[in-house]
Amino acid sequence: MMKGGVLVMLRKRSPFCSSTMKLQKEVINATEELKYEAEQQIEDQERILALRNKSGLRHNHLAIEKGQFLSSQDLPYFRSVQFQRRVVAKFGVNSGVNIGIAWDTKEEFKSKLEYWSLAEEGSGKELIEKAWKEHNDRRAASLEEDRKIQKRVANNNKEKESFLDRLRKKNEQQRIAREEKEKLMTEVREHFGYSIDIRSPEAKAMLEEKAKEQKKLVKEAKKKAKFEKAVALSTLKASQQQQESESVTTSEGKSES
Amino acid sequence: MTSSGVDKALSLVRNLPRISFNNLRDSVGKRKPRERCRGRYGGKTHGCGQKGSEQRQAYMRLGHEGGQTPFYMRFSKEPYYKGWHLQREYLPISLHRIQMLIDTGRLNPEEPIDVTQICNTKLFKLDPRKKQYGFQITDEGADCFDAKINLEVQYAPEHVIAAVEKNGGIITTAFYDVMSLQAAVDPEAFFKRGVPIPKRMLPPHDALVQYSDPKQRGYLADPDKIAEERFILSQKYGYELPELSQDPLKDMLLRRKDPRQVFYGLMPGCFVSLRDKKVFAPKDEELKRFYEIN
Repeated sequence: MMKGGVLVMLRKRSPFCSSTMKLQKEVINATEELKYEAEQQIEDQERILALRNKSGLRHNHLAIEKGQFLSSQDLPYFRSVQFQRRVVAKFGVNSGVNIGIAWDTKEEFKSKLEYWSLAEEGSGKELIEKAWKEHNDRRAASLEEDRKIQKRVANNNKEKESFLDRLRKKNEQQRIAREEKEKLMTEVREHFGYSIDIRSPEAKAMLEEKAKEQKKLVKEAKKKAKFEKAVALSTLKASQQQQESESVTTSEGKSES
Repeated sequence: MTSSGVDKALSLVRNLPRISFNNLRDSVGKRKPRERCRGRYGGKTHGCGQKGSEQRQAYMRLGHEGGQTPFYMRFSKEPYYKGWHLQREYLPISLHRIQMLIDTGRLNPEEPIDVTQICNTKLFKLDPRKKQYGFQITDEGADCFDAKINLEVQYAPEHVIAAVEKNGGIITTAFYDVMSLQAAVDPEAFFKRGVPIPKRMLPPHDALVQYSDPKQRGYLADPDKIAEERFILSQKYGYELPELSQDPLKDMLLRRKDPRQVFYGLMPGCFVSLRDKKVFAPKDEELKRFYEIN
């Protein structure tokens, strides 16, 4: 505010000219007067506020009571972004802080974009499709596994039966072999007498002989059985051929007649 | 032998109140005050013995066996609970509880009920920092649940969905990431931080199927498939599906949030000033593009 609209115009003169010095002094005086007036106004305002403050609260507590932000204090953390955001949130547009501070700074926005590009690689649709494909593949694989297991379980009884059959056969064969051996041993004992040690060389030699004879007999019996089977088969074939020839002749005879 | 003792005992049992913590106490002399180590016989070594590592407070750690492989290290670990602390938790709320909240006026059935509304009752403590990602609805009270509501939770089993839809209501399962959930759980505290409403993230990979499954009424599922599933469920549970088109609360029931939205009626990227009672949107083009503001 200028006192009485005073405008000081400095004409181009030598700085050491007395009239210039006089002008400069006038300017200094004028600005000092203005300064003094501004300070006086502040003092007056403070005095008025102090008179109005009947509660006797300190001015910062009064500000809290009135919901005002005291921007006159300049503490280090006042300049932090976080604090200024909280001021804007608490005191609104009239807090003196630019409301744009609420949104991200350039660095924050850059790091945010980077984070989002890594967190969501692709559009929502693509991500959902990918997830469903994996889910379906996993499900199909587990169903396939279940089917295989069911198949194996279905064959369980068969496997069990075949195993038991094999076991039975083996046991049977062992029993037969044991019985035969026992038979041969009794024959050897009968030959030498029951007091003979079956592990003695004579007994062993006799056992071997008898075993050989037994084998021969078994072989001959097999041969005979085979021969008889072959004979039976040939007679069957011959009879079949005869029947066929007979049927042919009867059909020829019928056709001729 | 007289049975006066027995009669007395029986009369006592008949007349005395039921045992509870209120009428139980320790036997006399069981709880002794701790004796401080002061004075003639509490002094000198003060209960720490003579010399050695014990008096010198140089105890070995619990389980230490002087260098021999201790018992607790002789066997291999079996990680039964590996990653358990990282599992997502959904706090359970029963249908009975929801019915009670509606009946007592804490929840308004004429407005959509979501995480924010449930947390605003201040009866539930949901802490996103403790891996609590929202609420799940349990089936207790499903047989007497008769409110028609638009409910948005994070998980609901099939029979609970049936119980809600039987009464003409709508239930949706939606995912909120930690930042969005922090805003949704306590909007007032969030707005006082002076940051804009966050953009909601999509569910993580292992939850995408759940939240896009129409059977679980996922918010990312196809609405037509959801309608199909609603019919199938009604057939399965044997109730007639109410007609939504004839319902006077149709608009409220069909109201749903965008997958990127945290609050009904407020877009992501907006700054809410409680002091001025205004909502501010960003002007920067990059921000608008990021928050998908048209």
